[in-house]
Amino acid sequence: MEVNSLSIIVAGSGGAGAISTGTLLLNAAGLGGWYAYLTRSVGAQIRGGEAVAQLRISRERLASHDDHFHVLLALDWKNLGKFASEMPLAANGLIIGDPDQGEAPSEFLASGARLAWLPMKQLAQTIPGGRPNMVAMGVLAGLLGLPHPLLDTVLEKELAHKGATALAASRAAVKLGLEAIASLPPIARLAAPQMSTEPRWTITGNQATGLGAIRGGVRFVAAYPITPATEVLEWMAPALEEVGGVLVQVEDELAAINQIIGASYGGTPSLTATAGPGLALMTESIGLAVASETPIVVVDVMRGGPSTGIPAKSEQADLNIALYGLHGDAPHLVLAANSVQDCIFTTQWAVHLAETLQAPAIVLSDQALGQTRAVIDRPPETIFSTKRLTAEPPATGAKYRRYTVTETGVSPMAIPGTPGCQYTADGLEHSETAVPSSLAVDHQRQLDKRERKLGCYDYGDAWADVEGDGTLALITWGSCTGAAREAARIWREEGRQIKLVSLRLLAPTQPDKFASLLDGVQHALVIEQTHSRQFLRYLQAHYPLPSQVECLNRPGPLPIRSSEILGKLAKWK
Amino acid sequence: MEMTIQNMQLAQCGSRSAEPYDSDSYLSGVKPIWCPGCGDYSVLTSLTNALAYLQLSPEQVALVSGIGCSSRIPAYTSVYGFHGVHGRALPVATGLKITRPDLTVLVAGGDGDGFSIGGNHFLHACRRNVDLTYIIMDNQVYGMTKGQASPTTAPDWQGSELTPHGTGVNPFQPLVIALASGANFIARCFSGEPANLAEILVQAIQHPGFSVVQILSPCVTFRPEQRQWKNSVRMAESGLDTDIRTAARRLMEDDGMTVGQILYKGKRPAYQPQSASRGDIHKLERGFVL
Amino acid sequence: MSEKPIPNRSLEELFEFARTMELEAARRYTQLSDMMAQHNNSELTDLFKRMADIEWLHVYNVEKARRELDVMEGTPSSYPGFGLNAPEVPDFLSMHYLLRPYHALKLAMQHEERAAIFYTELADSTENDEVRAVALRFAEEEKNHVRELQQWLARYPEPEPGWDDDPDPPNELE
Repeated sequence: MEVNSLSIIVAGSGGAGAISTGTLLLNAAGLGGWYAYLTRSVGAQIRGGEAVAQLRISRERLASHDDHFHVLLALDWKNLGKFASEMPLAANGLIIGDPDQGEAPSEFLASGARLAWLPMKQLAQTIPGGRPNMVAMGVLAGLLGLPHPLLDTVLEKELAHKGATALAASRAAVKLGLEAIASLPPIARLAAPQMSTEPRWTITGNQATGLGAIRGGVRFVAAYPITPATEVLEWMAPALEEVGGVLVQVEDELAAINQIIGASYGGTPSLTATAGPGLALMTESIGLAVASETPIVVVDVMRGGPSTGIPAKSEQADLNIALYGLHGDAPHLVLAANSVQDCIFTTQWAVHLAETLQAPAIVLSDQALGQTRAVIDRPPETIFSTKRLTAEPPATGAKYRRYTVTETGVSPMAIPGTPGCQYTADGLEHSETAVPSSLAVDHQRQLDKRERKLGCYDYGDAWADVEGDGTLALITWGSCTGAAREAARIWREEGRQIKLVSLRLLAPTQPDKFASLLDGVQHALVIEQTHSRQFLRYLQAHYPLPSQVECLNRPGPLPIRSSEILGKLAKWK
Repeated sequence: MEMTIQNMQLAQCGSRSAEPYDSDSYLSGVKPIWCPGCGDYSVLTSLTNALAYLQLSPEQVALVSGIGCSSRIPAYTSVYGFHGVHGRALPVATGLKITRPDLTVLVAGGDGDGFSIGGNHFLHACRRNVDLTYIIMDNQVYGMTKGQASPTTAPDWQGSELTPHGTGVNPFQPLVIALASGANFIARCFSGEPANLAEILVQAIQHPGFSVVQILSPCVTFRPEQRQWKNSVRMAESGLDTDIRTAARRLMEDDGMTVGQILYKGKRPAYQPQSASRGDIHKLERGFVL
Repeated sequence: MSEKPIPNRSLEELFEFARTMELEAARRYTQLSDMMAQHNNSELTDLFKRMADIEWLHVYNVEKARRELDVMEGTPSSYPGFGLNAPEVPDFLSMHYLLRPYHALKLAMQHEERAAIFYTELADSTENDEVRAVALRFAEEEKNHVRELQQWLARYPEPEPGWDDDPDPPNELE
């Protein structure tokens, strides 16, 4: 049987090399012309804990993982059984264990998948410097049908720095693995790739976020490390140097947010990236950016919360704090990326909107997007004419009015160094001339202005991704969009119609646009990865919904899968 | 022409046209809300005097502050100002200076803003040594919230309902901490000595790296006894200490009332990350190609 | 710690000092007037405004004398803080929002007296005859100011103790 996509898991612990095996396979598949999608999941240990690479390879573009995995290869078992719920196996799947590593955990066998044994450790020992994970790479490459020369290419590229001996040992081990599959039961055959004329990219969501920021013009980043956002910052540190920007590691998130406010006040588009705990610390100063009308971008790569929560695993539960976490009436932008590739566009757009509207933008990503590596088509270059409205030196004697009330609500911002425009940007309420004021009239005017500049702006079509048509709709956001797309695809393959709505712009809300795109929709399924149905409550608060609305929600870390969505839709068939 | 007070003033200005800026050039005209008798008026005067001495273009100077009485100072000046949230003046100023090294960036605030809520930034600003001048108006009290004990308040001060028996807590020693953390210029002044303060501010601004100027600046409303500071401060005997051990000993042994001199002047170069544009974005993007 | 007479001051320096002192006094009284306006003490607002005007007149007088004597203009701001605590310049720390004209005039008088003493000491210590003559002239002018202020002060009785009582507590702002 030939299938369009195959999903495999490489698992192991304590330096077994599962993640690197997965990455090498992804690269080989990408070079071979397939699309690929790799997520990693880890236990609670810094080193030596459970490490799982989940890889899906497909001839079609990928939106998410499949519901089930066709192969689970365990380099060892250790505590892997505990995490079985994160690794659902297909009923006709294949479990490959190493007889030297003991019995396979019952949690996996319960899936009904076939169990096969391969002495990977022993095979590796036959080669000086050979490693079981390289044997595993050969096994999996063979099962996936990846051409042997591709494996040599990626090994050469990724392992050359380890020296000729190590490279030769890896090659030999991979070859042993390839030969060993003869003893294994067969699995479905992966369809040959559609070759593309342009080389594909391999990128993680966190890197994509960094790239979007730089494309958008960000040239200053203040960084405080936090899982799972750190890779955004790590990628940006050398990247910013390349384009004449600067990244500074700071003492805490309070410094991060305030340093970017200072840099942006000075005229430099600025960004920081964090996760929920960091966003919580930053919210006071995001309010300062609102009041002082200083453009900034804050990326929140969400993880399980509250508090330290489940730091290395995904959840969408920072929606409420992003939307409502600021004190006072504080209009700001909230955007959400809905795929690995979309992290580029959404972050770039956020920079554009923040700069144009002189307002803070919060970009929501999550661990599932941020730490997923994907093989994608070369992303199109999006050109925004991003330019902050700045003030020119006023005519002699004229007083510069930083917060002058304009029709659009956006007023020319003087950049320090501009003669004759000196003003004090202020978190205190102020008059149009930036003088602190507690007068009702000034408060009303400035609140109106700040609301109007976001409310009146035309966000165009990018505010939501809308795919398909019909009386039935899936309404979702962020990383859940992947599974929703997959479900919609399957639903349509069965000859039925469905509309998918993925909101990219969460604030300010767009009630008119939402109403028009839901025109004719009678049933809607809202999909989100929160415990308290934050997204559903947001929709109910701001948008007209069809009379029949259901919600498919679950907290992290288990992703919502397309089969669950299809299960919910079944009654509307 | 009849000689009136008004045109005599104009005549005065006209006769001094050689230098474009006098101290009034740095005042915005916004009237301070500070209580009459507050030391901060004096600090504002000394600061504008220092800027006039340096003849810095007002648009090339930025003054960043946090929250508190003294943090209101930017709006009273005619330079670029940023009045942020409580305790975060130093990071705002750091981000600004790193991206705009062409500007002269000053930071101002009080003891609560700088040493309590902003204490962590103070340590790290000293460590980082960005070319900033940090002007702390220390009155050992929170004025904007009706007079509570601050980190520099004596442990037995019972003037606040919040701590009726005194704080019982050891006062923060900002200059000792600054020295230990790496500040490049350390001085203590008294707002009742505005000429001396102006002189020290000029040197602090001129010195590269992070300069800390602690100013004893009385709060006549919540600490009326500080009106007597003019009798209890003493001018430091000798000036500059470039030896960090001597400076440390001197700061540790001092009762906090020695004013008027630079207490430490270091030679660390200021932190200023350099980033010349080497490539372009396409080079970065090629890194993603399989 | 205020300005000390420098024995070997030149005539140019003397004029520059006198001018700067009067100018700083004018500025300071303007600031004190604004301060009192902000705190709704209209009596003191007006009084300090008048004092500022008088100091501006003194600036003019010093300039006039300099031109009469054909003395070169000095370099402004010869050192940072120049003039900020000159004897005639009242200090901010003596202020109180409930001050009465009596206090303000008394304060002004003290500073004019300090200025007179300063010039007298300078005249006594200098070896330059021209400088001595001008210093004595300035000292005499300051004494005149003191006498004028004395007459002005006579119109205001000394306030009773408790003039600074405020039945309301201070406000909280931030």
